[in-house]
Amino acid sequence: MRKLFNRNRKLYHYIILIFLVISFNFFLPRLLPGNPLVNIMGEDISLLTMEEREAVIERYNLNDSIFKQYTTYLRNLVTLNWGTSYSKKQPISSVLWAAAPWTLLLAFSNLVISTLIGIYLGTKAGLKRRKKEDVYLLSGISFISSMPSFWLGMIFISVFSVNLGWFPIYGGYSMWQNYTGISKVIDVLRHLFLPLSTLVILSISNIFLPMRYALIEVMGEDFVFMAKAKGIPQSIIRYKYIVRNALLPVFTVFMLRVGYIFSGSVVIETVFAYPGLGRIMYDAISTRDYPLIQYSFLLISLMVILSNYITDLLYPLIDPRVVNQHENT
Amino acid sequence: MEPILKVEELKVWYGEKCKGDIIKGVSFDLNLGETLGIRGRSGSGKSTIAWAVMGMMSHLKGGMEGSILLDGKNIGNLTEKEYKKVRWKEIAIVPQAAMNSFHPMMKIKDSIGEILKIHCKITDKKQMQDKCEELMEIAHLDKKVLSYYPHKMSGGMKQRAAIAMALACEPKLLILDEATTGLDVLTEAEVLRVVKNLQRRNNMSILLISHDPRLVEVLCDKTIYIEEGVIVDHSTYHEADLLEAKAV
Ligand SMILES: Nc1ncnc2c1ncn2[C@@H]1O[C@H](COP(=O)(O)OP(=O)(O)OP(=O)(O)O)[C@@H](O)[C@H]1O
Ligand SMILES: [Mg+2]
Repeated sequence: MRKLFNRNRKLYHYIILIFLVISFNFFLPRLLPGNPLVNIMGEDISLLTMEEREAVIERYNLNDSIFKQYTTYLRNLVTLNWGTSYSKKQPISSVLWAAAPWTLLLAFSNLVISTLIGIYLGTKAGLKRRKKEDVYLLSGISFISSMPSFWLGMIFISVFSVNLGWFPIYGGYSMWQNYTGISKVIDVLRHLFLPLSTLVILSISNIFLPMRYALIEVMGEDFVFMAKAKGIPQSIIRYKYIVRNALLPVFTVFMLRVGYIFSGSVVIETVFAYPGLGRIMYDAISTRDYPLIQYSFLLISLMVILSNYITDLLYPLIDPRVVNQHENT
Repeated sequence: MEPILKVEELKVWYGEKCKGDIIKGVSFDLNLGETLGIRGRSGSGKSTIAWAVMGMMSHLKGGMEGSILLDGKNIGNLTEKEYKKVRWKEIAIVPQAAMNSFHPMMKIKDSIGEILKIHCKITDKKQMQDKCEELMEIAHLDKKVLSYYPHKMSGGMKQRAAIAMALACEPKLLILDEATTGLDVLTEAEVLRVVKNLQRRNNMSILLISHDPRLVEVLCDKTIYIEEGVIVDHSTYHEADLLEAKAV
């Protein structure tokens, strides 16, 4: 019973958060000083004809009371009636729905792969602290992660796509081929490979460094020393005692990283012309398509909150004590 | 009678040998089924002797010299791999830092179960549960503590759980390093009584490290008093105790 409540309490927090984000998205442009029309449509309203202006005022019910506007906004939000993107000449919802899967694919693959590699290498380095292997890994990864992402991406394109021709130069799939089934999957993976590799290479250090540090901390703990005194085999001490305990602080870092999951997307998707949300945002900003910017941010915020919620639910898998506490108290 | 533990000219150091020894040539022996008390002021090297007997000096970034005969066999020069077989089956310890000696994410029953599985080859669930409950009784702990994680236990409970753990494989030699320090007098007496009974039953030998002269007097057949790494006295009460008594 209590457990249920605890889980639900977490859910309530997230629901409140989502509500705040959605409301913020509505009130922010309206709270800014000046003509709300400018804040909703951008500085270019002088270019609009009178009818277009009327249409926008009509569309956003700018003549209604703020409460009425708000309820209309909520209804439109839920019914995916998000208005039209001026630069794309398409409904905003369909623009974003088409882009979101690509960003999710790229960002989640990166999150999972770079975390696993980071944990693996961090473990390797930590267990061999101050030995050759550790020094090489530490300096190598610190060096690599200091490279600018657009630069690394461009190097990859010029080497692997242009010169060697191993991978496509741009896009998320081959637009002019009608692949189906397994060949479609391969096509998507081939397009994914370079942008994903760039992101992964630059993200490894985010987990590698905390993992290595946590491992070294745990190795110095009394209970690890005691495990040796108890004659427990080396491999069990290594994984069940050291790595498992080191994963706890690393999971906290991981949870924080989930909040930044889409942060690399804009640059990488732009460099590789990848059809995701980052790319859309870049386009929207450069064409000052305010409604599109607004809803992209909203969608990304919602996706971040959802990812955080999922990670929160995963925590008991890493630390059994959390579940137990709820059961017994 | 052949002593179960015979330590000769034991020298122990931390870091580099040249920096000087912490234990500077200590010799003592302990007979089967008897108890040897080790006393001395804080920092005199009592725990260090215990860890040397456990063969843990390399893990403490130190080293040792001299011989440690367990049942006539020199264990002082065993490799790490060979020592693994001695630890816990032959010699077990309740460390001074018993509080921090549990895997924080393992229930007590899993920590004890792990040892039973590795050293006593007990894999049967029922048998393991019975053994765990028996150990809890010895350590004067409630059965339900078996399903606790260490963070939910008080310091004294952890100490008693550490005693239960040390007795899991019925070792020939038990080292108690301030094992009951911090328990209330009644619990301490009860735990020591049960350990004493067990000693009689299994003919177990005990190395008892304690700063409490009364405890040593009651429980030990022999005593050594360490000062800066050398044995300075074999009587239960050392002159320092008399000074202490005066100070009070
Ligand atoms: N891991 C270590 N590395 C270096 N020096 C140590 C280490 N452990 C103990 N020492 C030193 O060895 C000496 C003896 O320490 P030891 O822990 O054996 O004392 P003790 O007699 O058990 O004291 P107490 O009664 O406080 O437990 C001390 O001077 C201490 O500083
Ligand atoms: Mg000590």
